[in-house]
Amino acid sequence: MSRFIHFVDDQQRDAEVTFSSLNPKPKIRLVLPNGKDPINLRVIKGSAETSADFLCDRLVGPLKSKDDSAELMREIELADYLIKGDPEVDMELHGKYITDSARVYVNPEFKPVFHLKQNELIYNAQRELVEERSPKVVLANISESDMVRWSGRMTPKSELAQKVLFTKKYQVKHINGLTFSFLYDLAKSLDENQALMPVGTGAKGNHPLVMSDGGKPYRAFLEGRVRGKSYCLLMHLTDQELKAPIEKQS
Amino acid sequence: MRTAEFHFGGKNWEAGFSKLEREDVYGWAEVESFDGNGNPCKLATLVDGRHVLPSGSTSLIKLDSSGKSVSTSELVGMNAEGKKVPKEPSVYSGPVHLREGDLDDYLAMGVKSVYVLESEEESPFESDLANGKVLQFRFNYREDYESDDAFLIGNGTHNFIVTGQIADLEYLSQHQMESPVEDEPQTDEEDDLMDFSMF
Repeated sequence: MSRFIHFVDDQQRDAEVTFSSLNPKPKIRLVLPNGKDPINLRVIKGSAETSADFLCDRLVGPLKSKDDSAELMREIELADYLIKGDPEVDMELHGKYITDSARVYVNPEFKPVFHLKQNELIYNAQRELVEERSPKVVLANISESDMVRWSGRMTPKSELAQKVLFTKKYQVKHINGLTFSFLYDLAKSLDENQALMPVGTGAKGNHPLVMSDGGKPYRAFLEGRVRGKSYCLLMHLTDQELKAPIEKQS
Repeated sequence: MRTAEFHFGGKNWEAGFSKLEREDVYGWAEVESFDGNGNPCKLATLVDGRHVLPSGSTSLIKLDSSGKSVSTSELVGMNAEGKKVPKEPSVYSGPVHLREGDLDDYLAMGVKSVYVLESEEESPFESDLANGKVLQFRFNYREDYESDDAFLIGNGTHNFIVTGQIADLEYLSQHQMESPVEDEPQTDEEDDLMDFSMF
């Protein structure tokens, strides 16, 4: 299904249009020396039962003290078991190709856990813990009853390019003749001014966009280009200013 | 720090660069998970509904048509016309010739990586970059078959290399519209937007 975005312009006219990701594909592909494509497969090379921690517990016994030398002695003892009997190799499983798999949470005994308690830890750029909280559920806010508002403000392209890093890009597309005019006119105005226009959500249009449920919030800017009667309207997303880390700034 | 030699307008500048991660500027968030008894939990892969594979238990392999394993170093680069291409050099292997870039190309680039430039010498390109110019070149951190588009850009206090691939933009006319019911394949980029912490 196409994905929709619901825009409202600075004259309070709204329209739902589509968008697609601008994600350039590699121009060079890697092939075998005979020019044929290689077959890519995912293969198993270990499992919970052959992991070092599990084998240590099973063959050597639980860790008796938390001191580093006790852990080292346990691993040296495990090395003897590995040399003598290859317990780290599961002949039935290792080397098997994986075609289908699922992601699960496991406890320290590698048993799947289905009811989790989660805690979100927030660190600052100095790597200090600044907050602990329950994880927030973030929902998409760009379509249906949510609206993305055009601010009407024009910011020169070169000024913004030196300030923020546009990490994601989408192309906004019309779905009928009316939305063609809606988007073409905006693209033309942005092109003539060589400017980008901030867009946002919320009543004042100053909140960030969340493109999909569980996604990250981004600030967004529209850029328009026109060639005759055709247009290209880009939506740039950013969550980062163009600036050096704090230690490099000082 | 390892340095590269940049040339532009008859001037040259030796500078090192290090990757810029968002977390180095703003910090980051991580989610800890616990079972009902308060034991820490980790994500693992479940295969055949019974084999639990901790992180690092699988790897990707490449096979030829006879099923023989092939290492990545044996593979060669091929372009869209089906012709083999030579490897392109690393930025460290010789002088990097910069040219004045187009801001529209910079804005049309899908960003892959950002690096902060560092040098004991002052950049001779400072006045150009301060005026909003972007300097373009081809970038390969290591010698490889495909290099990236790259731009040198400044913010007034630091200079950055932004790398990626410039997109071929499609200009749309009135009758060239997107069908609202057309299927669009899910891209990796969209997958990246999923945050596992929500589960």
